[in-house]
Amino acid sequence: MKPTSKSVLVFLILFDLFILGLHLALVDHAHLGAFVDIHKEGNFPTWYSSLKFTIVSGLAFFCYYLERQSESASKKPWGWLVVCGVTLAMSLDETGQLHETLIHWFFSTERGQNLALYFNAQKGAVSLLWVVVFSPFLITILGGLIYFYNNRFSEGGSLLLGAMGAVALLTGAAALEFYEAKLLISENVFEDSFLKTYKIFSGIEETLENFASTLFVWVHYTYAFRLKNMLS
Amino acid sequence: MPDFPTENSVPTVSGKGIVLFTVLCALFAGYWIWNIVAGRSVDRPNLLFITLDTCRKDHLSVYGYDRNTSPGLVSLARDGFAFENVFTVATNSLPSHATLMTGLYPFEHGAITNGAKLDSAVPTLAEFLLKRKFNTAGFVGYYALGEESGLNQGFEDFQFHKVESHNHDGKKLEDDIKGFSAALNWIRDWHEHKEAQKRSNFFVWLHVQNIHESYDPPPPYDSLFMKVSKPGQLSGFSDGFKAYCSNDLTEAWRSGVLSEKYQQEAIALYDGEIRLADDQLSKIFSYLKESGLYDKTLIVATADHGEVLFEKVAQNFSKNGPGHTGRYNDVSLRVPLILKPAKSSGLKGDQNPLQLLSTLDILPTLIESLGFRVPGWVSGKSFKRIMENANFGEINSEVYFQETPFKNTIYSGIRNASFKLAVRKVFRNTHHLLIDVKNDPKELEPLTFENNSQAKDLKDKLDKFQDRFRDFNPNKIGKMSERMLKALKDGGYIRNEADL
Repeated sequence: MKPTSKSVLVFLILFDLFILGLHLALVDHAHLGAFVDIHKEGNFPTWYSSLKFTIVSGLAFFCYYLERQSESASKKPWGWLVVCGVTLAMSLDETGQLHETLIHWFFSTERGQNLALYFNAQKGAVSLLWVVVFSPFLITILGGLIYFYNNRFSEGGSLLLGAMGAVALLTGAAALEFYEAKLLISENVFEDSFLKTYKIFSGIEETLENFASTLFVWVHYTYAFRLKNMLS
Repeated sequence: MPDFPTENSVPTVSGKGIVLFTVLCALFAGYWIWNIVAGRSVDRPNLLFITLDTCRKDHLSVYGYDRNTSPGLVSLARDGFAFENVFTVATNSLPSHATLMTGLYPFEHGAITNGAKLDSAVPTLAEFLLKRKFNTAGFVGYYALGEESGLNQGFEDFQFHKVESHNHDGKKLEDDIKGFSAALNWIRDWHEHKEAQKRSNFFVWLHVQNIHESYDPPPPYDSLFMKVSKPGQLSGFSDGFKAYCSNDLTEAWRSGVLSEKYQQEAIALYDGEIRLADDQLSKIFSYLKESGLYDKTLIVATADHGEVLFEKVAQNFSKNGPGHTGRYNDVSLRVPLILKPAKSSGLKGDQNPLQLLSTLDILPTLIESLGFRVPGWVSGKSFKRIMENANFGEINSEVYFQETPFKNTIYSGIRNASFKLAVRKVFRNTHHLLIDVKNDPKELEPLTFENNSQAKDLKDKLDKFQDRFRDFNPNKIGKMSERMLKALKDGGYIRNEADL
């Protein structure tokens, strides 16, 4: 029995909330805190997020495969391959911390120092400025996703809404990350009240990212489900 | 399947519109980022580096001295940081200045004593900034820091304006302040004239020689803090004793005939020299404020070393003053450091950090404060983080000093917050001096070195430090010019050429 698209969406949203709840409940735990902390890398929330992006990527490839099988769906299917590649890269980035590694290298160069000086950023804040460094690339990806989904689900409806919502959530997460960097730059990072504010924003940002990948899974799954039904 | 796409469906938003908007946004972001990382949008500060030769920290009113010797620096410190515990690595002008300009120990940069020459292969702050679009200008007041010393490396404009040490009669203020005037004029020209060679920033090094012996400021500074006898009566000085003549002062003090009155006169003259320098610096600061350059300029004022006035020093280590001969003593080693950051740094000033620092650490801090990465060749550590957070811990658990002022004589030492261990090595004879600087701040009662538990840890660390220059040949000083020899004699650095 195949799960319905609605049940997939509900299950993933519940699991996203479970991850958030786990974080809130255990983040201060001496042994388990680091494992469930959504602000940290290389732990359970990161693997979960990475797994979801891998599923999004796999489903995108499946959509590509199905569209090629479908005679009526004659829109260029290779767009799905691009989505497949982009989301796979996002998954690898989550687990491999690729952008973090790149950004640390970049800020060790003179050009990186120029950027840090421009934003008056000290250590800690600079790593959050990856959004600025990669902004042309991020804009291209987000614009490309909007173009693709708008084209693919052009008659509107829930899939277009879901896809655009996912892109909007990703954009919001990136914007929040930049805002966190600005917070780190402008505030006294050693004050407890500041750290609380910072962690709230950081938690919202990670949750937005999780909801975005959930929506992508749902959109891809629903679309593939419908394509498969049509073909059969 | 109501959501399934069909061939004839009409996009809700124009696909071309999305592509065009995306491309424009990406290009705009790319252009913006490129301008920043290429340094075009970076509001990098200028650098004014002032070295007050022979200036004692405890004689500056900015550090609480009861005479108003430094109102200009007091004002500067309100906008910045007045560091309390900074120690030089060497008590002679050239090795110390070479350290300030390179971030290296004397055995690393090679300019081990006055009269030596900085190795041309050693990179300097001026060279570093010249390569990074700074106009560079240096103004020195002592010949031993002039072109022959090699400290001119990297300066597009390098000027020597002699400050007279021994020609006391008819001394005029305008003769003593030529270096200040030259520096001020250079900054004014840089700001007001848009020459083709003008770059986006400037680095000016102003070396202030006035405070150095003899303590003979011109009027009105000669009587600013005390009326001085000219010349006075003193046994053994048939032509009259002159407190403003370093030769008379040294001779009288070392022979034990100098009265308390003359000591106070000499100190008042020394303080008068500081006030003279401070008043001239205030003029430069005023111009920077009037021209709008003050907020855009990182200003740092420090000293190459302090000065022994009439403190008693350990005789097996060095001769009594006046002068900076007490190479282990805190009055020689401790230096002032006032750093006023550029406004764009966002740092909150009017602070007196207490962390233990070395003059070795100044160069990396300046480089980092100017927005550059500290190069790997620097031995010092940047203390920028201390300015960013007053509660930041120590960057040094101890500081070291090392110099070779005379042939076959090596001084080295280590100091932490509580103790100081100095070593004087002459040929194969080694003398140790251990001082409890916390409980004996005047350094009057050296501790016994042998079997002292406090000494062991310091000695182990100092041994490791000394290992770094064990193969260094301290006698490798090139031939000096006649002019350099005269300058060293005038400065009181050599009495006997055999010392070299």
